[in-house]
Amino acid sequence: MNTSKTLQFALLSLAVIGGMILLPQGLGLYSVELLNIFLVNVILVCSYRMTVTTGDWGLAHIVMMGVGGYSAALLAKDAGFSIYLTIPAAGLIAAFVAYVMSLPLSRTVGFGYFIASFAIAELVRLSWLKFDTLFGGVRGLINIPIGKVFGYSLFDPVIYYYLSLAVAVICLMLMFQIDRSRIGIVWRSLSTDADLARSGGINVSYYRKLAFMCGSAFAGVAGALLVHRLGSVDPKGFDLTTMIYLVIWVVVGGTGSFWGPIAGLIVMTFFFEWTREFLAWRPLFFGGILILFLIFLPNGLDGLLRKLFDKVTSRGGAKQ
Amino acid sequence: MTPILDVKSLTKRFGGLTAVNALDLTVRTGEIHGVIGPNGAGKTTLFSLIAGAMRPTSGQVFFDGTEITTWAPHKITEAGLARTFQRSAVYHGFSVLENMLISMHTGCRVSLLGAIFNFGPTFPAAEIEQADGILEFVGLSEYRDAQAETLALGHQRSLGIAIALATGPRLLMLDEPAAGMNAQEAVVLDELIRKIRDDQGISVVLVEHDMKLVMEICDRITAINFGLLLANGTPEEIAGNNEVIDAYLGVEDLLDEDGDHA
Ligand SMILES: Nc1ncnc2c1ncn2[C@@H]1O[C@H](COP(=O)(O)OP(=O)(O)O)[C@@H](O)[C@H]1O
Ligand SMILES: [Mg+2]
Repeated sequence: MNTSKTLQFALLSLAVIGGMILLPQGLGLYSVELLNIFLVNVILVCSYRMTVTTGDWGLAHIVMMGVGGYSAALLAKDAGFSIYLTIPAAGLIAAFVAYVMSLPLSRTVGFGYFIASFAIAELVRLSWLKFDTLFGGVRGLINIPIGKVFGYSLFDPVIYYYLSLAVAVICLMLMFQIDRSRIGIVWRSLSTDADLARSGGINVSYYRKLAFMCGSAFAGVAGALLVHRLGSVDPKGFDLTTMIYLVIWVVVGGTGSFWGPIAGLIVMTFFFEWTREFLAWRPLFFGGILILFLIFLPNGLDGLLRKLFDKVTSRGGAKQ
Repeated sequence: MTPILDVKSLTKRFGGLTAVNALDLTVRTGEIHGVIGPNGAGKTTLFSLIAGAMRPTSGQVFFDGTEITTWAPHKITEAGLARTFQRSAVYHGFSVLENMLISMHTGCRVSLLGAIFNFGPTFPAAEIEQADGILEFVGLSEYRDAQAETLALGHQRSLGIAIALATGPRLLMLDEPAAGMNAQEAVVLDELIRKIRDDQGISVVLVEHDMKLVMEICDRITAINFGLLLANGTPEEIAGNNEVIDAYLGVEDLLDEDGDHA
């Protein structure tokens, strides 16, 4: 990026953040609660893209969010940690669990990885059911303390919104910095040609593990935010259905740029709300959209916009 | 002087097929060493074994006196042994320059914290300068900002070599670099391989079907067939070897041609 582009980008970011700060003022409480969940999901989709850029499309990500959620719940309930501590701790614990999971996972590739990631994540999820003295079994954990910031109770959705916004902005800045660094570029190179990368001196297994750990850390943070808002956590919230929604958001948005998955999330969140009346049909709609995108727009909305932009300005090679 | 590469009794079996059979290969430092043999002789497999992409069934590989037989491929590359692929292998979705920068990874690792607190450009100017230098060297400067996959096949082959050079090798193994190049490009390639050795001081192992190229630029040649060593020697010795001529149809024609030149 050159300087004028950097300036444009900075101004745009400020405008968006400013807008987000003003947003709750004009909205009802229900909408603010939706925004709270939306911010959690923003962190979630960006962190999923982070691991996916290596080519490792897996089904474990939502469970990594759960690991963060359970960690935050236990630390708040049993150890009396404040929310300032539970959120980063949830990220670190999720990264550590991801590291352990990545030891066997990094030995698989492609379809093998896809299935193995599901199996190993399901193992983690089942342990929440099995070890019910710690994790509360099917009913999970309830009465998770929510705490205060600067003397304001976080029980107020608007106050919680500002906390979530701050956490989301910090997470996005960190992820953006990693994405544009040599690490992010090496991750993306792995998905195009891992054999070439290997012979180019890149420790492929190390970088795949690192991507899974980083993505999981941010998923863990998202999990902590979610669990503190809901006041409860249970295994059902991190099942395959939820994972499929995450995949749909990211596929619809496209992984070609940092912002694609957020665009996918926004579009599909509106779609989700519009289809409230057709509850029974919803899985069919979403499945149909996933298939249509995979067939006709494999690069998602991001790829579509980029193509249109290139057509309009009639120059190729426009890249971030 | 220790040879830059010493392969001792290397064997690779795929089920019942012995692709490489108790093969010995010694590449002297500073030489261009050709490896020839008909299709399926085991040349690519030999490369993969040396570069660590495959584990040998038995045998040993020494790089500059150090045994590297069981090393991971990225370690071998870091140690200074780079290879290119028989297929055209470049990073799709990245510009030619980015292809270079990705491969200059060796020695410029970045930590997570370093990445997060870097508010300048992703790649330091010195690295970009070095990458541009390599592109200039292989003659791809004008395509610097093009997407790698949009290059003509011949240029993609050159980029493959540039990627290997970007890792800073002392030994470069080229797997059929002229495949997909037209006659004119092949002449330029001939010149490039010489320059790699003469200007950069990099030893070269060359697998090539273009016998003219091999005979012209190699100091020594190893001929293999069915994974077995056929002959070892100077181009003249190899061209005069009856076993090689039998195994390798078309060498006879070349002999006449080469005889005229000599
Ligand atoms: N991964 C593999 N699995 C099974 N057989 C293989 C594999 N790679 C190569 N081969 C076989 O090994 C033999 C040597 O192949 P290769 O090294 O590619 O030959 P060359 O490069 O000399 O044309 C061939 O018969 C090929 O079919
Ligand atoms: Mg071959």
